[in-house]
Amino acid sequence: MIFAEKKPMAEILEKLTGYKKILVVGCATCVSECAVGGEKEVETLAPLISLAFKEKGLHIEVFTATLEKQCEYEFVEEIAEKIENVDVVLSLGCGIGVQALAERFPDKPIYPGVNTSALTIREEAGVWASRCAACGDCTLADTFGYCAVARCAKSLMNGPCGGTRKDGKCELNEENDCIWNLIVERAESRGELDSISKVQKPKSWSNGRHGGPKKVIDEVQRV
Amino acid sequence: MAVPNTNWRYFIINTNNNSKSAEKKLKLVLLYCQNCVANNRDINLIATKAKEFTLRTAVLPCSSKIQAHIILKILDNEADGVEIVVCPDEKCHFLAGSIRAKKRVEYVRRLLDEIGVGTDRVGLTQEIDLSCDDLIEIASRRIAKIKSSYEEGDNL
Amino acid sequence: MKLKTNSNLEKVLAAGHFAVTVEIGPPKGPAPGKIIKKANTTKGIADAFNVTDNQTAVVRMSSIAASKILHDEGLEPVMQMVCRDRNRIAMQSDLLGAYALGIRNCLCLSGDHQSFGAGGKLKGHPGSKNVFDIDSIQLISVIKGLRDEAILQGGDSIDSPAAFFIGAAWTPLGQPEKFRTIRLAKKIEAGADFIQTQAVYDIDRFKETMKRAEDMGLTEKTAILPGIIVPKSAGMLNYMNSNVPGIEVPEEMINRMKSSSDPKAEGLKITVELINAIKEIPGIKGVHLQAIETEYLLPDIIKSAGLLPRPKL
Repeated sequence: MIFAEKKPMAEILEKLTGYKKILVVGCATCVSECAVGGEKEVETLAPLISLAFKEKGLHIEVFTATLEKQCEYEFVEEIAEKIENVDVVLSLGCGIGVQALAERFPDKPIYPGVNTSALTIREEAGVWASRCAACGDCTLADTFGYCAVARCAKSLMNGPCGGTRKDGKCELNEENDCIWNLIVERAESRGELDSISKVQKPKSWSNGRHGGPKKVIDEVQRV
Repeated sequence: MAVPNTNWRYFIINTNNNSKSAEKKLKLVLLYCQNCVANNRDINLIATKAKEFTLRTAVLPCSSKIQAHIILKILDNEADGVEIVVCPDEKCHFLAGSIRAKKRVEYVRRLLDEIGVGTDRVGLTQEIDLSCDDLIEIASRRIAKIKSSYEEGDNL
Repeated sequence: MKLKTNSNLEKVLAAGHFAVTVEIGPPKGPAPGKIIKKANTTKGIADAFNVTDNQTAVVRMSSIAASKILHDEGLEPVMQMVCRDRNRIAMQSDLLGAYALGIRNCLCLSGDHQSFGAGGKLKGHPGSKNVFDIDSIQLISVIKGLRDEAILQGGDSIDSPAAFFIGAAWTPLGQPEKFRTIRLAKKIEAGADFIQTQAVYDIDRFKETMKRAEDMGLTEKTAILPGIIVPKSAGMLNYMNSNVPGIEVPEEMINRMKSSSDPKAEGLKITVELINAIKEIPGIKGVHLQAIETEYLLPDIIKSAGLLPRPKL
């Protein structure tokens, strides 16, 4: 899912200083799955913000709402009334959600409360790890199901580099396996080392972010 | 000489929050797992045994039911402190309940620290076979900690 | 055998000499004084001089500029180029420029991740974007295209060939070990003319990997120059053994340094012994010496190893 991380409280509180009525909006999809922006987190953050301002002798009102998906206009519409009554909105949705709110409510300041940072899988309860880099040119077939773009620190196509530790971990982050070590192991176990013994040509990055902001139109889907 | 109304309003809002002054009676909410309290009927009237502070207790069907937002909402709207009482790790009937409660209490304390409120307002006790008087003792200790941290804050 | 380039290193190897290359680190500032001094200290002791490219992601004078300075002092540079900081457009542009400035050798590396530049006393630039548009093996192919076909990676032609002698790195003891020789084969297939390895301290282990390379026919297709980093202390050897992937130091060597009354002198002795040992390994065509920020030690070492004077071709 789209993965996000909580922003430090100091940063959030600084942005909210000066406002009297705050609405904290969460999202029940991706950010809820990674426990940073779902209903629970909204209900945790709201009193925390209130306590923080009380500590400074300021009384502010904090309202809450959690949308099914902050990236769907039909769900965003549900809080139109609530938004009228506040001065500022703190969105715990991913960058897409924050912008959906900002688009629909252009007159209200909408601030992000989380940092959207990766596309991940939940490896186990409480552990999320990068899996995809949205490069736009998926070659997972060539690397035995391990993405070298997202999971190699250098996005090597002809890895591994000289930085694979003895225990098979990446020298950059010892929590991570060297993905090329895993690719080689799997290739070996399938008797297909030959396929990664050929030189892979340079990748074209133009279908991902590097090609510019995307706008994709599917006329069949368009009503 | 008449003082304009607006000045008085700002003065009141910006002085020290009344509930932090040492004179006012502090309030504690004590949440306990049903398995760590010895079976006795006094527990229903435990609030009457709290002399120097106001006490509200509530039973948790399981220690794993405690959540960060429950604690924070109580601190924001209702009480000066929250004490969570659960069984020791190895005695937990749910196996992971006490461990979860511990992690969540620690998390809340970190959050409170991050916003400058300090960690004394939330506590965790892990014991079993507790009587009414034991709970009052635990509650009193937490109130004492909160009181001294308020006083420290006033003195700064 | 027809030479591919004007490189002195290629000439020395083609003539069958045991080649010597050394590493020079550029200064952490814009003043050329320090590197000119290093050039004067090391002139004549090697056939080519590697210039590092923002090694460990620490900003130093660029490899291309420092290489040009060495060239002007009469030394033959091996410009190192990493994939971390430049995309294929900048790389090819820099290569054309480097060639115009007289540089004839290029070593292709992946490059350390930018987070390594922040550590110890250094703030570095851990927040920078990294590029890694192409990897080191693809870079080898790109340079081969510039040389043999006068063509850019995207397919367009250039006015005239940029005939570089192409180098690559090899970490023979890196995980997964068996694949490292296959990866070496890939580099050779892509066009690597010479190879400089990660530092060798365990001769027996290195011999094993060389045997594998020999069996695959790789030692005939490329010139392998094992790397040797001059040891300064037992602590340094211990650190490298535990923390640098691909470096293995035998315990006896660490103990030898520990019990020595003059570890610096012992380190020089060890270096010479290592050079003499690798000379005997079949398939080895030379040696690549590194004395990090102590390049002044190299002339004596190379002399003691009987490798002076260098051939003048």
